Amino acid sequence: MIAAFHTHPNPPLPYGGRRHAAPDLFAAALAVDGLSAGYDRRPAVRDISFELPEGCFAALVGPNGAGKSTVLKAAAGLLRPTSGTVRAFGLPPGACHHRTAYLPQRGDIDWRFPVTVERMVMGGRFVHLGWLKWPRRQDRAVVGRTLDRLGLTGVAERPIAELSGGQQQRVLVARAMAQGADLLLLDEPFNNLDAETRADLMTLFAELRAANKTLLVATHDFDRPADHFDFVVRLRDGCHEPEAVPS
Amino acid sequence: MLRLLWLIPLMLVGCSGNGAPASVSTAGKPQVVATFSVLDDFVRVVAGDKVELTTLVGPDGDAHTFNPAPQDVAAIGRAGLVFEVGAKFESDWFDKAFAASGSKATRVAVADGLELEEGECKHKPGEKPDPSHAHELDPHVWHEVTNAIHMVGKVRDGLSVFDPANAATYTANAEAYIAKLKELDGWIVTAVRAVPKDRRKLVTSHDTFGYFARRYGFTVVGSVLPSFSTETADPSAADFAELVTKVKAQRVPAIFCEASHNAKLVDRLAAAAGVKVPPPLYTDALGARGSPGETYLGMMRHNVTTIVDALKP
Amino acid sequence: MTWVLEPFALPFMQTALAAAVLVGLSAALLGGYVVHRRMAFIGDALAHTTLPGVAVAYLSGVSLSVGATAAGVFTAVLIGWLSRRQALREDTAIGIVFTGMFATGVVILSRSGTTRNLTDVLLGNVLAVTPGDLWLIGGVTVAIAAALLLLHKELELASYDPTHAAAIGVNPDRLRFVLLVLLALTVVTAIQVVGLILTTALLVTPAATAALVTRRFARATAVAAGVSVFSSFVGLLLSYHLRVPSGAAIVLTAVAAFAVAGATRLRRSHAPVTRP
Repeated sequence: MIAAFHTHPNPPLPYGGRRHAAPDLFAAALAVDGLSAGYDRRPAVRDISFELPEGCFAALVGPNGAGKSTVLKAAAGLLRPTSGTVRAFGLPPGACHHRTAYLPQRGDIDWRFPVTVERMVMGGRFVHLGWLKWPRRQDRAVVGRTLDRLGLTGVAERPIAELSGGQQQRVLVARAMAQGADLLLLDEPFNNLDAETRADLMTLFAELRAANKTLLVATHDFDRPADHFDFVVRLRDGCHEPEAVPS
Repeated sequence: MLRLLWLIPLMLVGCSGNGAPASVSTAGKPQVVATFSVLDDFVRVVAGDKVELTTLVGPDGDAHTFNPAPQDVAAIGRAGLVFEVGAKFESDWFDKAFAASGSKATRVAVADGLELEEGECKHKPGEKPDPSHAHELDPHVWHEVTNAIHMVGKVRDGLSVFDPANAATYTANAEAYIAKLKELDGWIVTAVRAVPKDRRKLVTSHDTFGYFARRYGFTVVGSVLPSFSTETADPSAADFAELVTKVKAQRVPAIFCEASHNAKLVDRLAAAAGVKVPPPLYTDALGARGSPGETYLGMMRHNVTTIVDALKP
Repeated sequence: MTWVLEPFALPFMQTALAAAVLVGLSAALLGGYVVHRRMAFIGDALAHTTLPGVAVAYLSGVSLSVGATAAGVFTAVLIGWLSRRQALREDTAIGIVFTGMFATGVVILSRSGTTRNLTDVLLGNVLAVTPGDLWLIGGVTVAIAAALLLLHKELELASYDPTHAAAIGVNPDRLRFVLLVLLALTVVTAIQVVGLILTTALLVTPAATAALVTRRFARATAVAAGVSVFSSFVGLLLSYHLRVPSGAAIVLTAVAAFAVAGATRLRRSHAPVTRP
């Protein structure tokens, strides 16, 4: 056992004591199979299955309470499935921490906490640093470039309390970019944003797609999601929506 | 963070200046500390202006629950001679303050050598009284004038040892004052004859009149705070009710409140038992300037007059 | 200048100053988290729960600090365990627990027949701090500084975005737990200097003052530390010369600093803007 520890080829990951594993090159970006998961032993979602190839721009739609957040959290490794599997790039969630980024609902973040935009985006680099390490010059460079690409350099030194909703969403995306994520799981990014800001965001997402990022967006803000997304997973009451009868 | 820097020279200064000789101040006069106002009176009478006296608990102050300020502790540190009552009158705050001040002063406990009354032992029901169990002592010795004479003697002796140059003055002053105290004692014995034996019953805020009762033929029926110290929890409802019953049953004519203590509970006891409350007595401290209790002599005369007027038929 | 130096030439005042400064530092270092994570109520609760610890320690002859620390840490663990995974919604539950513990402490202490310890715990008595106590106080300050230095980026992240923290493998509940234990230790030492009733003021006021001055968390911590040390020093000085209780004097100085910072900020925001 101890011999195995010393000769293990893979280096440990900064947090969580897990080990880095090389991703499977031909695996789907996200593969969910028969997933059931929930809180307090009651399954919020049951038997969910879908697969997203790399570069896919997918939507997870459904009314409130359908289970969209649950699926995203299971994909991010925040929830353990009661049954079924989740694989990101062929690996269980967490095995390749930095490749998956979960962007929480904006309401779940305390925007009044006194940090600057730059510092929040730097939070994306923590996965690469781990405990006890301070951000290095290269981390600051990555953050600087990311802020630039997302047009946030002007607000880099401002406290996050001063951001508008659209800017907040951009900052979350910037953090995922600084992290180096290839799979972004976005929880209700269009909530409470006006049409113009939404359009801006969609443009941003198109840029990410062009860079071969995979996006899974939970949203209930689109009447006809199929018009805007490559792939749509519809949920209702924790299950896949039964096929609508064509009219 | 810059603000921290200027603390450093202060710390250095502090560490160097330490324990200056305590017996003689820069003004030349010996530094003496008395714990409370009655001792303040005695020391002033005996020493006059030959010493620089600092008193910790002033007029109308409660020496049982006193919390010394930093300047008080500093004064103790500078003193060469300290007068206290002892017998836990100053609870433990004085011991702590003395230790904290690093003082090298001589401590004179004026109650030393007196025969002290022991308090009742409060046993749990069913427990056998333990003979080796140390009893609380009643420290309010000055209410018996013969004790006061002893205290003045201790003050005189303490000062004479500390400052032998003026020993003659101290002895002379003490003698003159003791003569007055003897006269006071005689006056009290005569005055209390106006109260018949069956009415000589004392109820006060806390248990302070043990020695007065012993010398001048009174009985202490009880006190609202059943303790020699005010530093104790308020009485329970049951204890309070018991006291009301006692006061009524023994036909106590009046109950007394104290100038140095809150009269609320005494007033309630009086209302419940249907008796009157005369003006306050001076028990643990002298009164403020201009009040009848400004000096020890004044205090005793006021107390006796009040008691006799309240209790006589 | 002797007005300033004279009191601190006395050894017991030096001990008092050292205690007040060390406690002030601990409180200020944690103060940022207390204010921005809205833990002032929990800080107050922890202070109250130390009373039964003090009472039992007094009756068993054990050091009062040990009793207080045991009770405080126990409650911190309890609160941490009860409210894991959720933002604090247990105000009521915690309110009941801590007032219950406080009342238990009052009852236990009342059996000892003296009110002295209760007064000391409630109002603090910095003059009663012995050099032995200074070791505990200093130890707590060092522990807090070390913990916050080592964990600062993860603590910060878990404070404003616990979901992301959890997603990258930083357990926000465990960090909250660490924060609660550090808070319990700080509260126990703060009680000795300013007393139970004013402990929350020491935790909150310097940090709140710092929040008026700067918007960055790290800088705010440094400012809070400065305000705290300043308040301890000036407060003790005032308590000496004006003969007022030292705990209250320290807190009032901190509040005055807050008022000054607030007034300055108000004036700046109302200043006319000159246009070119």
